[in-house]
Amino acid sequence: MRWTGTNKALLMVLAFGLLISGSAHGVQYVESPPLAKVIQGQVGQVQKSPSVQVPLITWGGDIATVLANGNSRTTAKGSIFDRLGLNLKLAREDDFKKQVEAYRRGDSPYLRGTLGMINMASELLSGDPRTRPVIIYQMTWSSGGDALVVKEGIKTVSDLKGKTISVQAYGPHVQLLTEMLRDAGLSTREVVIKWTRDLTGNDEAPAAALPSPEVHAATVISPDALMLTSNGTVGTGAEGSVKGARILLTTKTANRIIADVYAVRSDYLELNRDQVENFVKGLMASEEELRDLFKNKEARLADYQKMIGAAAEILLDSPQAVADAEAMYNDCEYVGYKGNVKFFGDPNYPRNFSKLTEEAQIAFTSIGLIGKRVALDHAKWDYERFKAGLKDTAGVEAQRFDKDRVASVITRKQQQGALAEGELFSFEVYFQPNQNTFPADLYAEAFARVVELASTYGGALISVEGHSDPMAYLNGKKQGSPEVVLGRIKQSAKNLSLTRATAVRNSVIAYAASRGITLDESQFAVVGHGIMRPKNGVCGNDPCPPKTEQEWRNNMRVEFRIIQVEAESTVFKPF
Amino acid sequence: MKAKRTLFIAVLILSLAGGLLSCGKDKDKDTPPPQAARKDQKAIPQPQPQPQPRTPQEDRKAAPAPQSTQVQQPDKVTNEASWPPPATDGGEITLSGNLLARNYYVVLDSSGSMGEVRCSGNMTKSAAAKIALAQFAKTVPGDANLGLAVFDAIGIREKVPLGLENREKFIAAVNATTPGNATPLYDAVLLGYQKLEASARSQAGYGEYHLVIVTDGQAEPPTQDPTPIVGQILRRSPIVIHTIGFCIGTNHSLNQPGRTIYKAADNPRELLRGLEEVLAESPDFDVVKFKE
Repeated sequence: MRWTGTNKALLMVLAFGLLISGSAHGVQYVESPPLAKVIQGQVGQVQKSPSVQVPLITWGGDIATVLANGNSRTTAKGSIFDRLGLNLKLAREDDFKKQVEAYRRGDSPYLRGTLGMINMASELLSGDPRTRPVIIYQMTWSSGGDALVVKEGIKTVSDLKGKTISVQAYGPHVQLLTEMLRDAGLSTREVVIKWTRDLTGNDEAPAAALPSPEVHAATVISPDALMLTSNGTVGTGAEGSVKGARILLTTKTANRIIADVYAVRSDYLELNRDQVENFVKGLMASEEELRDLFKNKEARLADYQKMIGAAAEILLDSPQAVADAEAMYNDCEYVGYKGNVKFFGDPNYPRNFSKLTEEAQIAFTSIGLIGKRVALDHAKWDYERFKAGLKDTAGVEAQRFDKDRVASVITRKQQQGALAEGELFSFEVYFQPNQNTFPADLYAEAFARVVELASTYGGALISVEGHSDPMAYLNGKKQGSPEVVLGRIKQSAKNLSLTRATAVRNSVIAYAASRGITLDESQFAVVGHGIMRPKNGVCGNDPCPPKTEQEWRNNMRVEFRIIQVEAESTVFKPF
Repeated sequence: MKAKRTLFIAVLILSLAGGLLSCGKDKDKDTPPPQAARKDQKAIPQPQPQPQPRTPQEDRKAAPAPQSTQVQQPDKVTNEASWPPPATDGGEITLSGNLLARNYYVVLDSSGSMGEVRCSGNMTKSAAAKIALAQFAKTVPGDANLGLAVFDAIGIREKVPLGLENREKFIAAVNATTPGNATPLYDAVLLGYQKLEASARSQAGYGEYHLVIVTDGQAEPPTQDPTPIVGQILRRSPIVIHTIGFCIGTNHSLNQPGRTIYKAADNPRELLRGLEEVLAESPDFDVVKFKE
């Protein structure tokens, strides 16, 4: 279940339930043994019938599937899938365990979930060669649809150490949580995870657990996040919110963690490769058509209304739930042809299929969601064969941030001394006196981490903040240098620190390029603090003199800060 | 005319009392004199309370607790860090392509006394200043911003906005000045500050800022004494004030040893040298090493 209960009525019910109970005493936490131990039953052959059953889940990415099928549960004449010779029956199943059971029985050859969820099932499904899953298509990245809500006192991800977090077992947020913890340098053993049965919409979901004093954070879908935090601010304690709760981040910031995909059974793929290929081809074509419908909504109003109405009916059980369907669309980022080529075919891409699969399986093994790591394949399509009929198959990626707005926001934060607000992660590199280059071989580990974080948190800004050695200033002051001279030293140090930060930023981008990775320069903001934020503190209005050589060296540093700027909507360039 | 001047002085006094400064924007053409800019007046930023709560993350990163009880947390910053203050109109700032640019804003005194032949060899002070400033303009680095304001027979106004590739315009504007009228130094310094502050906004406070004042005497009327505004500039900004003075005493308000840079311009050669030193005194502090 991904977005069930996102309609306002269900949320109101949940809010009311929380209101009257006043706490989360009703939540029955569950265990999360490997699915191989939970799901029993025989593996069957894929059913032979005129139409092939295809699962959907309640997610914006599934709107394209509905559209490809002719805005219908069964393939409509003249639809994209029909033109490709497919006859499909779309069946929504938000309970992943039930979906896995149907897949194993052979009710459907397809499995629909996030890559993390399919990894959770991979051990079970690979137990029989027939059901070994092969990933065939990436639909979307979650981009705003999922969130981590925290209580007071938790300002960065590393503050979760020792805290209790509520997460749906086997759900889409497990990978979101494990990746964030890893990026903050925490292991899953350093937090307490309370598993819930459901994702949303009832008393067995993380949102229902958060009011409990023993729970400090919860991973939730965006409507729940808004409810818990009094509409995205700070929870007041009223109307289902939790007092002091706020959104630490959503997948608008961590926009390269949750990949929604389709997998297919190995036996089916082997016998029906053309059919599966056409299914993927249809999804790609539909994604382009869908993008065009949203972009030219007014000009194509009749087509648009038909599409969004069908999506609302099939995915949200009500043709009137158009606004929710539109919100679902906006909570994800379709990747299309280019995204699939990159995800499955670019070995250098830090967020590719192999990387995400490896990360997921390492994390899931450590928390016992799978007993052992197993290989997970993708279809290894010849993507040239998909190009025909598609429009958007080439081109460079546009900058995601408005450079001037970013600079303006960063300058404002700097002036307010508020650069640490919204900080998710940070770390530093050090340099020697008079050092003016930052070669990758000296800083490879740090640069690799920046590349990794920039890629995973593509919606976050990365500030590169230079600091200078205050000794020239302090020596000048000790020797009685005039105020005008000291002022110029201070300003020069500020300029120097900006220049250093810029040099480091450029080195990081060059380092990434040398590994075939293109970073978005607009994601980086350089800042020069000069001598005004020495590591060993400020004495009066001046930097404190370092007492040891180490203290002196500690001041010569460049700090990387990954900053959540979701509230600063103007920094993002419109798609 | 007199009524206007009285009003002008009254406004100045008010601004002095309130510590007000106006925030102007560069224009291609001459900008109005300070009187017209008063509507936008605002204070030079006062010390703001620093944000108190620090994140545990920052605490974690901090060095071992300092021994002195006077030591503040590492990212407690001094007041200069907030310069320039945000524009009061909240308007969008388009950042300069060169954040590290140097800025030289010249304020040329062309009051009546500058027409005298004294302290400047066998030519008028005004003529000597014109020759020296023409040479100075040619020496300012091509990637530095140069601007000019004058006060003369017409009044105070900006003649050349801070910018690049404006040296000819600068020289022509200097040459077009006609000595006359009083010595409104307060207004002149204020105008220069406003222009440098506006430039600093587009450079996010990085770069260098020089206010170069070529003058021959005391403020006139006395309410134009620039001491208060000079003090505020020195306290609140990294602007370096250079005074190039013709035969003016050591007690001149723009000559504050150790706080402003004062050069006597008692003859044309000294005048030129003083101006050259404005440039020569810019330390590179290794910055050039990073330029690729």
